[in-house]
Amino acid sequence: MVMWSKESRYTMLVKAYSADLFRFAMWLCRDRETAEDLVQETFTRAWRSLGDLRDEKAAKAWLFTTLRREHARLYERKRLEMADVPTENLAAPASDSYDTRTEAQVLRRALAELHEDYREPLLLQVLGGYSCAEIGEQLGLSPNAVMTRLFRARKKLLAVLGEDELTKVEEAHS
Amino acid sequence: MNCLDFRRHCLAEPASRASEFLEHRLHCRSCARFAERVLAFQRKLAEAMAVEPPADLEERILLRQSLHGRSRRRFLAVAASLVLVAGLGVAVVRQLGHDPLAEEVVGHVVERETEIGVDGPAAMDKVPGLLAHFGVRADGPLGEVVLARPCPVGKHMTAHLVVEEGGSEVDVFLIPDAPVKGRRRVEVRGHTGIIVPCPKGSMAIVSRDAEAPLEAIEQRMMERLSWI
Repeated sequence: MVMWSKESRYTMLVKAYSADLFRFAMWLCRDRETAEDLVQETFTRAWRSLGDLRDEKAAKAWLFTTLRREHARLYERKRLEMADVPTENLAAPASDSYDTRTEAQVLRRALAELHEDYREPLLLQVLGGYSCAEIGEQLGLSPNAVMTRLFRARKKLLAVLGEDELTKVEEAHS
Repeated sequence: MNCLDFRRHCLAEPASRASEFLEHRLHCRSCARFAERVLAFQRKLAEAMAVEPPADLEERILLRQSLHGRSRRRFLAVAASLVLVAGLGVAVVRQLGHDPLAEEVVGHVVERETEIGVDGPAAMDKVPGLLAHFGVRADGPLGEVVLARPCPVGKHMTAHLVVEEGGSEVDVFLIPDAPVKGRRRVEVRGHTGIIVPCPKGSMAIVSRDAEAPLEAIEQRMMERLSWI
C-alpha cells in the first residue's frame, strides 16, 4: 500500500476538488473573490484536519460541508447583498470556454433566482454528484424532503426554458 | 413503481441507480423516453453551472498553505532549537555523509515518475505564471517543458519543471527556502543530479537517466532565469 505524505495527500485533494468547490461557492455567494476566499478557507481547514480525512469519499463530503458552513458564517458576518449581484458576474471574464449560449444564460439566470432551499440541493447533486440520502445528511433533511426540493427545483427551471411539457405530463398523471 | 412514481423520482434524481427505478425504465418505453429528456436537461444544467475557476486557483491554494506552514515551522524550529541544542552535536556527527535535500527531491521525482507522469506540451503555458509565483522570470526558452507545477518537496514548496531533452526526462526544482553553500553532485536511489546555489535558495536538477545532459540544462537555467 502506498503511504502518501501529508503534503502529497493535500495536493491531490486540491487538484481533485478545488474547481468543483469554486463552482459550488460561486453559486452560493455569486462573487468570484468571495468564492475564492471560501475555497481557500476550506482548504486551510482541510490541512488542519487532514489526519482525520483518510477516506477520499469522506474527504469530498467534508470539503463541501465545510464550504457550506464557511459561507453561512460569512453571510452571517457580512450580510452580503448577494441578491443584487448581476447573474453575468457568474461568467469568467474573457473566457472562451464559457458557455454563453442564450439558453445557458437563461438557465443561469433562473438558477440564480431559485430559492436557496431548492438551489442548494441541486448544486450538491449536479456539482457534487451526491445522492438524495447524502444531500439529506449534509443539509439535515430526510431523503424524501430532498427529493421534493429537487423535484420542485427542476420543475421551476424546466418551466423557465419552456420545457414544462415534461412537468405537465407529470401533472396529467396526478 | 408506477409511471407517476417513476417520473417524480426521475425529476428529483435523474441518475438514480435504485433497482425499481432502473427496472421500470427498462420495461416502459414512454418513461424511458421521458428519462432521456430529463437527462438531456440535466446536461444543460451542468453546463450552466460550469463556472470557470481562476486559471491558477490550485497554485494559489498550495502556495498559501506553503507560506502559512513555513511561518509556523519557523516558530517551532526556534522553540525546538532552544531545547535540543545540547543534542545537536551528536546529530550532526551522525548525519555526516547524508544529504536530506537530495533524498527529498529524488523521493518526489520517483513519486512523480510512478504516479503522475507529465502533462505534455500544455505545460509550457504554465511556466511564466508558476515562475512568477516564486519570484523568478524566464528571459528565454527553457527547453521542452512537459510539466510545470508548484510541488511540496519535504518541508519545501518548490517550482517543479520537467524538461524533455535528448530523449530523457529531467526534473528541475527551484527551492527558494533551501539555500545551499556550494554546487554538488548527488547520486540517490538510481538517480543522478546536481544541486546548485541560486540568488534565492537553490536549484536541483535530477534525472533517472545517467546520460541526461544535466550540465547543459543547469547552464541554460542559470543563464535564462532571473530572480526578481
